[in-house]
Amino acid sequence: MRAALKYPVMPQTGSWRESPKRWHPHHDDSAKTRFHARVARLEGSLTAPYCSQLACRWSREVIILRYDSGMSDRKSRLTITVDPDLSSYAERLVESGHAASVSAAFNEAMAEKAYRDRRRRSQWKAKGDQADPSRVARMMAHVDQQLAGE
Amino acid sequence: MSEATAPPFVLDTSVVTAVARGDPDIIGLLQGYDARGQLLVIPALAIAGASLDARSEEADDLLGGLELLENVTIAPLRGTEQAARLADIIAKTGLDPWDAHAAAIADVAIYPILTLDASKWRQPSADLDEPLHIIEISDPDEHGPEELWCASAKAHSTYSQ
Repeated sequence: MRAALKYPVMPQTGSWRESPKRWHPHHDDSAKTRFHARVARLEGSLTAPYCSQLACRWSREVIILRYDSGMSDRKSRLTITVDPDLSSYAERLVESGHAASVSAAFNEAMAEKAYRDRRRRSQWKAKGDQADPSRVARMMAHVDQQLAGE
Repeated sequence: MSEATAPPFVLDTSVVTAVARGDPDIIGLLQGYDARGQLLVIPALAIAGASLDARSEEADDLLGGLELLENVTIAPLRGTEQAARLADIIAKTGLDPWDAHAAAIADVAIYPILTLDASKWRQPSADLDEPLHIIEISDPDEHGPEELWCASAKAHSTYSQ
């Protein structure tokens, strides 16, 4: 059964639709229209409660990501400080419809970094597994001897 | 040498290049040091030099994996003072910028430099006001580079006759 999609809302004041003043100045009407069109598309495609209550409060240098406690148990609330150019870029992604929200943009970036780091650790482990332990031990002992001035 | 008293090692470009080329024993060695809590300092320019040597996605991943080790610090080149100090080292020693960064860090912090080729450091070390402490990574059970060169020259001489 498809879960009902909740619209992004501000935590205390109701939905963004009802609180237009909460929109960032860069969020013009066309951006809002694109956003709601995107929500409508998601509504037709989501089969899991991925897009529950979410809101972001915006400043030039600080993004405060707020996640409603009623959304997925796997999400957590996090306050982060980012560079102004990155926050502007995240906002542009949302406005152009390339990200569902600023939170989603940063979530995706972190997921990508986590994937990259896992891949790198895996490569290091694979290479380390190919090492000759006795040769490595001899090299370490040789280094230790030089450190000790022998 | 006691693990607790071992100073941090500065890796030179030869060691970082070996990592970029995927040398299993060097990677195993660095993993061993990391596991025993040995601090390793990797000059950012040494990484640049190694990346220039091995242009591949795998090499970049292996280099990127360095900063995922617990006890590794990537030393940046920061500010005009460090830049001027680097230029000073290059002028005095003739080292390339990649290894000059290692020398600059080792010279200021008084840390030993870990290298695969101690011979290349002899003259640069002598050119500085205070000599550098150079430690070579090698397997004592194998021939060193100079011994190999002598053996090769001898074989070539024999063949020529």
